[in-house]
Amino acid sequence: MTAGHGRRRAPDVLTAPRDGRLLALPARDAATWRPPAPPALPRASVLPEEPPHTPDQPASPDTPSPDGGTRAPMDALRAALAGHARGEPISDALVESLRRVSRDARTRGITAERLLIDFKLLWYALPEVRTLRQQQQSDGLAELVTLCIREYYKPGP
Amino acid sequence: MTPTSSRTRVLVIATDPVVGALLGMLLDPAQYEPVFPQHGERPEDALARVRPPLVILLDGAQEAARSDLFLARAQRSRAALLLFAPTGEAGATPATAGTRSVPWIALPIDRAALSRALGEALARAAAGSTWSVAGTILGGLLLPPVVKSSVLAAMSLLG
Repeated sequence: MTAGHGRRRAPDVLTAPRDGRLLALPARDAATWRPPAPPALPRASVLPEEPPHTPDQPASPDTPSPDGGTRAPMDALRAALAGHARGEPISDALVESLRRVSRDARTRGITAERLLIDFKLLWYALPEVRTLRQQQQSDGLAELVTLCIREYYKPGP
Repeated sequence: MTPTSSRTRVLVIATDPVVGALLGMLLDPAQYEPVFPQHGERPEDALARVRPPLVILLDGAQEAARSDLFLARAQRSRAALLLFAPTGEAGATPATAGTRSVPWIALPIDRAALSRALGEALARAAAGSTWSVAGTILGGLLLPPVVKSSVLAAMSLLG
């Protein structure tokens, strides 16, 4: 963009995309800027596709997703991960969601490798995580994993 | 992104895919690259396909730890083995590990401790201190101790 069009240029606006760098966007662009869409996942994933939003008919926790899984485990996992990123303690919901993901994965033949990718996609897509530095993101994930393993193996009541 | 070639490949074998994925995420991404068996692939087949310098057997993979075929292939490929078991249910793992002379470690574990354990297992394998396949095979047979020791001595002479 160059000056000299005969009218004053709007001041640039600083905005922070996912990698934490500040970008200078023209004001007219900043109003409409959206983060880029996440990459498409292979179909053999436990991450459910987003269904059409129907406010009058909220989805049941066990509503099957279009790829045959259930939304509830990964939705609960996403919520629990976000809570951890905000500093909240590990909840029973997180452990229960991991167990459900495990059952779902075994039933559908989803490998640990695929789960690892899905878990990382969930973690690094969280807005709470995007604002962290790269090392903080990695350290936070390692800490979370240790907590998850501990809770996962904790004997039941 | 860390270059794959500069990292040590670690074959993670677990019955529960969530546990395998969690441990894979706990590996230091700068040092290790987690690799997993494919769906339905037997541990010994994954070992032959991946040929990793290091293998982690999680609690659900005790069968592999007791498999003579698996251990023989691991020994032949000079892969270091490490057994993991949850703290509360570690009873079977130390017994298996003791019989096989395989190092084991209790879960949960943090990234630093895991890296130390993997480093020690690699160093142990590099030094030639491996598990005893022969001892385990013979341990399962009802042979007099004198016969077992004689066979073991003969096998050690054969290399």
